[in-house]
Amino acid sequence: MSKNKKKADEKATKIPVESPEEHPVENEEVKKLQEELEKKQQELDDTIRLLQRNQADFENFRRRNNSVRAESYENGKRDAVSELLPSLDDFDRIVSNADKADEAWVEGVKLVYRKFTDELKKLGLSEIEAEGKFDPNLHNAVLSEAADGVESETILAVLQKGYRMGDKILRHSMVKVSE
Amino acid sequence: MGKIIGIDLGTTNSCVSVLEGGEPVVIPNSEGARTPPSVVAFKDGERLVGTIAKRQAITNPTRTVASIKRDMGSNRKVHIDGKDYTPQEISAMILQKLKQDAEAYLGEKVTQAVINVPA
Repeated sequence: MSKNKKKADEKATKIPVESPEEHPVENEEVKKLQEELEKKQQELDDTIRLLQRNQADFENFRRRNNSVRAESYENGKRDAVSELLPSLDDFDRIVSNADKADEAWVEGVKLVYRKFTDELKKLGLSEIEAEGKFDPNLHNAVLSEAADGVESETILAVLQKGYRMGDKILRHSMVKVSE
Repeated sequence: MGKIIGIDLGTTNSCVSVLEGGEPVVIPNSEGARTPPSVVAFKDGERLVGTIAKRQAITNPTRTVASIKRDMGSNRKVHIDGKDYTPQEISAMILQKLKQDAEAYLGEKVTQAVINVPA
């Protein structure tokens, strides 16, 4: 090999290696792009998490809504009947305090009362039994009184009747109990 | 992460709610009450909380606790059936019932809640 060719070969094989410090502007750009990429990745992760949460919310909402129509009808019925309970109370008072001297009028009122209660029974209304032992699931004790010879927590009087529709209680019986 | 419930632990009544689609929804308890009373009672070895506890309060006055929040921060204890309860323990029973009602409504376990600071 000639000296000149050897020198040329040496020149050719020496590839200059550029250090990062020699191109600061490009490296700055790469760093910026990397930061932006990380930021976008974070945003994507947050969005996916939000989507998953919303999807779970929606599934729960859909499951709860499946029975909403049937429940709404029953709830509406219960609300309507609850509104009528004060009138039923008034009827009870009229009938129990009727003036016996005016029997025809009293009979008329009793007829309306029976018809009214029959219609309510058809809608599913029934009176809560309020005799014997007090049960907080069915009764609301508002008064207590000493009563000789009577077991404690026995219902002494019903101050306001309680009613239920099916297994749902519209109003608990308001009662007086023995001490 | 499950739903986070919000609880208003009141002196007389309490309330629990949850955010659904960004809107707060009040959760009714098992009896349909949206603001059940903050009352705890002990009867026949059972613990009653809420509306049912209030209904039997007159028949069981020495074992029924109401307005316990007034004693929070004090050393006063409630003595029932040979056991002492701090106001915090009684309040925890109320919170537990509210949590149970929320879980029944949501159909999932609840592990996080925001509770208002007692007034």
